[in-house]
Amino acid sequence: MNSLTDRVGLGWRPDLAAGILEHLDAIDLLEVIADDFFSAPRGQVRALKTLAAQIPVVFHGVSLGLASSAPVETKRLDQMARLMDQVRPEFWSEHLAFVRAGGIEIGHLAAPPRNSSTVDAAAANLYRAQTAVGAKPLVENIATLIDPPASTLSESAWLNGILSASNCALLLDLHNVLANGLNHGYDPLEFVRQVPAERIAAIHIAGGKFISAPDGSERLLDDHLHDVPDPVFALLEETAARAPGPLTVILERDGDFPAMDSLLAQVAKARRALAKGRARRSQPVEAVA
Amino acid sequence: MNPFDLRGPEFLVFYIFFSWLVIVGLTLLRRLSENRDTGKPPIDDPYFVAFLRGGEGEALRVATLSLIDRGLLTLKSSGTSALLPGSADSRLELVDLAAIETVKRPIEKRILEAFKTAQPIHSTLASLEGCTACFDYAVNLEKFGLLPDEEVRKARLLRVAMAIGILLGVAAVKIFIALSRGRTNILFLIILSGLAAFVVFRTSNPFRTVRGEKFLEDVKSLFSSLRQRASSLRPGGATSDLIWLASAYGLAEVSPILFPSVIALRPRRPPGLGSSGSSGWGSGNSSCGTSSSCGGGGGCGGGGGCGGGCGGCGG
Amino acid sequence: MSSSSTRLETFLARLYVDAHARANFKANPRAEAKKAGLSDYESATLENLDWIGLEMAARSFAKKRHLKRRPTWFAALKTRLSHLRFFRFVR
Repeated sequence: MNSLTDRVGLGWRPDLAAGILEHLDAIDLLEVIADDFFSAPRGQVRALKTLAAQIPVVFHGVSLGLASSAPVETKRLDQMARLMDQVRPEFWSEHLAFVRAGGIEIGHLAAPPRNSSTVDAAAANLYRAQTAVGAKPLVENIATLIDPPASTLSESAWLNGILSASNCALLLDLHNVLANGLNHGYDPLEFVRQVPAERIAAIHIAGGKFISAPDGSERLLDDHLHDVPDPVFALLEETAARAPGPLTVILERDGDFPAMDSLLAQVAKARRALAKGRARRSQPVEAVA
Repeated sequence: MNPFDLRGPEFLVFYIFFSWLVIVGLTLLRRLSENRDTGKPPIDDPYFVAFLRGGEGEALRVATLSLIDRGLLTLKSSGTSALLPGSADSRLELVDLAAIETVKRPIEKRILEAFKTAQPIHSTLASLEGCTACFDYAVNLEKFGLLPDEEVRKARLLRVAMAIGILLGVAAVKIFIALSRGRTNILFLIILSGLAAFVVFRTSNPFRTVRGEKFLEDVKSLFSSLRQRASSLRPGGATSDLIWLASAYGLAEVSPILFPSVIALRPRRPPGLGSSGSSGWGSGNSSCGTSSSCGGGGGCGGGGGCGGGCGGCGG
Repeated sequence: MSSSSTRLETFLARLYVDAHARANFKANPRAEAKKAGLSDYESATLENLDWIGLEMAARSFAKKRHLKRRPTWFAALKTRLSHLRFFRFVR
């Protein structure tokens, strides 16, 4: 049982600096968006090192496009490698998405078609990333408003394929699971059960909002601008009940920041969900008479 | 070639260059000797940072601002409400005696105790300098190598003495040679050597150590977005943004329109430029700081970044 | 990696960022897909594209691109100057 080493932290955002530093005792670690520091002056990187000396820091990339069919750009991998070398975070993670293709910058994370070709491409890119950076990234599932066309695999099958081919650990984003489940018609809880629990090393929790679709329906947008909803905490409990290894949970909030107390309350709620899940895991299975 | 054989004007040029080398050498020596790793200084106490930036007076002023913003101290002027917070007879008074027990930090407790009855601001804060709470900050800052301790001060003094000795010695030799050759136009050299010695003296004993300067710059960098949002902060003590802004960047960064009480707290005279080899922590350097721009963001092609977080997975 | 997959991703990227490309594609999906060099299978699957999701995703991506655009040199200079005491009025 690893509940003793489960951790809950926050995404580092400059606007939250004062609140975070004031409450370091309530936060186990910080997740830093690595891309913010790729071209930063030396002083800012040194400041990040100072922060990393105070509290464990992990990196989260957003622009590598590791699930792209095209090879990930060496220049970007070198930037990540350099920053990792300077700051030495505990681990780094990236999304299973493509962000550019054919010279076109999409501007954010797009879901590639889910088929065996993209599984192989992602695995190849993850190998390149590991070689360049010196450490395997955790890979994160993304939310998508559009069901990727030309897909022959389900999301869970595609994800399992990449994890198996690359031998990477999973950063399971539970709000993305919720959003994709609601938007594309599958049970989020079932998805969590289909993911290999032993691969889950980290978890993202966040909030979003429902937006209107042109046909009058609604879809859940993962915008990171809202509080974490209860269904995500339920998924967190389920994940904690299944995962054998220690879990690092990060609360992501990118804007519309509430009072620090509200964020810390959500961190505390995450701890309770983890504890509840772990307690379910350690309950003895009743013997069949 | 013997520089002492140079003619007057040429020797002056040489001396300027030589002085510059001595000052640069002194600075490099100071950087090498004051950058030793002495552990992780705490980054969770804004008054620790305020003390590092501006000395104990600044820490007291920032703590007082925090207490006013949280409604624990109230500003009074001539027995009426503070319409002119900057007026000479501005006083502060504790709102509720029970507040003394609720505050966490000893420096805040000490300030609240001092203002149990309405007291003039500056003289009362001045009387708190040297109190135990301030002393503890100073000791910690020295322990973490952010402010010079006795050993560092001695080393600085030794270096300064040697540097001044070298500068004055070189000038003295040249003056002696000039006089022995019947040349009496030595006034410029005397002035220059005095100026060089003065510059060495003034630049060799800054308030903070090299490590302290770096730590302060790091804190400022971490709070650079706060500085950009300064005009959008709101009074009321709901967040610690105001206090971190004041601690890292100084009271001058706090908007007097949103926080009128800050006018009453600003020091009456410019803060000292750094004590020159004496007691050490009495005066601080209220630096303007570097402007770490967040405006550009770095290479934001693709998925996200630019300080705005991951942005979610909308697509 | 499969050039077919790369072509498909390029095509999708164009649909995400270019409203004209989306309109053309909606008018004649198979022809546009063939023009982009996609296979018969890919062209066929694209005819059943999640159109609503595509529009919503494109809108979301456009918003993100807009938020991430670099400030002009003038805006960046203004930000730097506003930090200097004498130029507070620049803010």
